[in-house]
Amino acid sequence: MVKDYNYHILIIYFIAIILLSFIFFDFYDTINGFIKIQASASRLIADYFAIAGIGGTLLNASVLSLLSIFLLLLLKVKISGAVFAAVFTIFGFALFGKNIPSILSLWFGVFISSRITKKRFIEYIFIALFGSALCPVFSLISFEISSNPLIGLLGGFLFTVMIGMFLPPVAIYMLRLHQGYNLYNIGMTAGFLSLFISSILRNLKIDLKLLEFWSQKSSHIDIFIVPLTCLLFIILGLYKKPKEKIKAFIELQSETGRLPSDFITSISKEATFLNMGVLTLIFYIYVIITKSPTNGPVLGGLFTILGFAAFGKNLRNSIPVVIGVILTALLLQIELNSPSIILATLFSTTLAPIAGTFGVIAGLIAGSLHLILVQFTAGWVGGINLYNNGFAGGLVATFLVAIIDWLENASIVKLKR
Amino acid sequence: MKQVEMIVKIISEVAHFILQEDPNRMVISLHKEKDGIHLAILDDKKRSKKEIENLKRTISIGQRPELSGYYGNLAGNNLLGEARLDLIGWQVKYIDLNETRDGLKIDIWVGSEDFDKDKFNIPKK
Repeated sequence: MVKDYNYHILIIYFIAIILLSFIFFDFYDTINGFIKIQASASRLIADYFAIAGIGGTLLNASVLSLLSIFLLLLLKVKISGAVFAAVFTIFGFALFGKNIPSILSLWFGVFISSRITKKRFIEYIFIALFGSALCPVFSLISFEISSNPLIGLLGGFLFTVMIGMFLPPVAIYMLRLHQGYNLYNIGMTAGFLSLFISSILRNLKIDLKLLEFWSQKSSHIDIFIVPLTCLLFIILGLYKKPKEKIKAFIELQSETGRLPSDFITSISKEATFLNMGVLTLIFYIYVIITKSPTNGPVLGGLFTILGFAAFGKNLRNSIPVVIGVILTALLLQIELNSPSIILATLFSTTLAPIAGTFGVIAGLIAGSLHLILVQFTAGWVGGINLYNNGFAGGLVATFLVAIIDWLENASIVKLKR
Repeated sequence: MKQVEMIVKIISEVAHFILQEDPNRMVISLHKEKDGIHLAILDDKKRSKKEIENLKRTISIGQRPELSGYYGNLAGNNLLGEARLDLIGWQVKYIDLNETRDGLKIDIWVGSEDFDKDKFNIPKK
């Protein structure tokens, strides 16, 4: 097992969330909600706050995060920005789509894939952890379309394992397609695979209407969780020699964020923690200002930002993309706190490396294109890809990379090398 | 990954790194043995001490199978953006970078599980 105090911080953090869910919410409601999540439909948008209550949802997210940490420790994975990104992405999406049986089936599929190619499972660990984007397929087959629960469960398990087996080769190719300019590469991968999966299901006359579980209420639990989490990371970042840490934090802002950008290795652990706290706090303030509901998906977006602020996102590369989304939404006269727009705003930061590498204008264009596309991509695949923004972001990144590369080859634009 | 494919990717990424500085000379030397390969790449471009320090920090992370198995596949597939030696550093047995009289020398050792580093005179830290 890896002995690293950062893992201890993560473990203590998620245990604290479990305790919080039992302290603030009724014990039996929390347990019942947790059980309900394991057998509920999980396609987009399935806000577990609306389906199973806040206590059960937080318990589900914390248990899944601890399972991921256990797997990382078992495989002796050293702490890095990717670890924070993976763990907090799992926590965030376990608020609206990931549950234990589906995630274990998918991990098992990726494990088989590693055996087939005679690779060590550790080499595919991040594909497995991020790959849980396709978890809704399990619940779709097991609980939504099957009349026999036993056959449904078996079918869901086998189908999800098969998807897990295909994830590594496709994920690696998708990475090359957008050249690392889309941070949620598995979102692009899962979206690509979802096109096949949803087409197969539709050919079998299975209706894939999007779900509409979107809690309009503010959870209020966010007041305890989000600002305190940000504060925790800011304190961890500024602990000892704060002036030096702030200097390193400023240096971190010059990173392009292109995959893989492990800020912990390239800058420092403390500067990374500071970046995580500050960036997430800014987005939380934006959520409050726009009066967006702090439900499962919105909190999921904030926690994904928290994780990826250790693995590619910073203020300089995220803000231009987000401004592109907001300006386009205003031009299209769509409410900034409507479900698709607030989620697009938070998750559009998947395109941060575009702004980080090619500048503010490219970032604004990327954000604008992202919003135009993302409103429809979930419908294409019946909501079975949880990382819908990663899919749209991947398509936008691939398009922009192709155009920029073409312009550069024709010497029309010159990139700073 | 097949060994030939891996070597092509490494050479491609390192060559990209060297050529983006527009040198007048680049030499790639490959020495192959039963269980390992030594690659030496030289150029004639002088770099500042800070640049060398940053590069050494980037490549000295050591083997990281959890990152190389996935993100390491970007090595040698770079269309846009800067070449990145960290992608190489994660997946090889050892990588070293030294200043020469004219420029830079990058030594890379690639080996199988039976790789015997003593045969290859890897600098002791």
